[in-house]
Amino acid sequence: MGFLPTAISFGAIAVQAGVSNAGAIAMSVWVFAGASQFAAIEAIRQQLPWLSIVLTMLIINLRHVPMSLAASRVVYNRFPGGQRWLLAHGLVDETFALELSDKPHPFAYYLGMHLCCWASWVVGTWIGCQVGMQIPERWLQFALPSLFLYLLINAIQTIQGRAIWAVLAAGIALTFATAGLGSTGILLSILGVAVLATVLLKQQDKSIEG
Amino acid sequence: MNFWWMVFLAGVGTYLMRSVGVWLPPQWVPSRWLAFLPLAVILVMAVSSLASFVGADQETWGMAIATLAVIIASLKQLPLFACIAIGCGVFGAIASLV
Repeated sequence: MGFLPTAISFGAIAVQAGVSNAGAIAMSVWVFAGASQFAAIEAIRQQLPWLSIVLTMLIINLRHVPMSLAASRVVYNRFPGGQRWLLAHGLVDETFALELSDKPHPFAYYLGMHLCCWASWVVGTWIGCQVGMQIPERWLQFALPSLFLYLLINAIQTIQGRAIWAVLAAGIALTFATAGLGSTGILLSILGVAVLATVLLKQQDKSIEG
Repeated sequence: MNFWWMVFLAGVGTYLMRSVGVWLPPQWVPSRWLAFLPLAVILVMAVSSLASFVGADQETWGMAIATLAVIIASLKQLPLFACIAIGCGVFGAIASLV
């Protein structure tokens, strides 16, 4: 049920940005990744090139790579290849967190959980598409910043040490400095922050080890 | 490239990433770089989406106070939907005061 309200927000924002009902629902069925879908709608609203939108979505979804590697090693390694391919589509933040913190279950349990989450996301998107145009735009305008702030706070809390504040400050400065470059600026900022985070937080690890 | 191609490519790419544990040996993946990339994306998207509200006084104040409200709600570990509802409510209320 936790998926439903967020999915309704997504459907509502999508139709307000000019995406068709079918387009929004297709995105939820096929992509099934909230943060990247919200980012795509924001990018569509800003009329960024399609290739930039695809790249942005894929970069946001890169977190699925380490999640998939971990889930395959710890949870799905008991299942044959076909079942692991089937479970892959439902591997999202919430299912990943639940599965890795729980005792082992049979394949049907994981499949059922993935299907429930996926169905909630798709049905919620459909509901959002139906009611989206009836909600004044001003009251939904802050949904995307709220989502990203929520994700950012959660991400910061998983990283220890003061270096994260330097990364945050540099990220804010870099984003403002490259704002005039449009989608290229966003991409450059992302790469800059990622490099900085890798270097700074690595240095911190070394100092701890040393 | 139209909208449907965008959805198709994003879906294929996402599925390939979600299934990487099935088809790629873990030692081939530079996990450190990947571990920080989502943080970079989230940070840049958060800052750029907030920056788009800087302009009219009412919107700027609404953005600042709504940002604070969402940060507090997130730190209080409220669920995602509650944080989004609080952000939208605070911003909508302040922006509607015009």
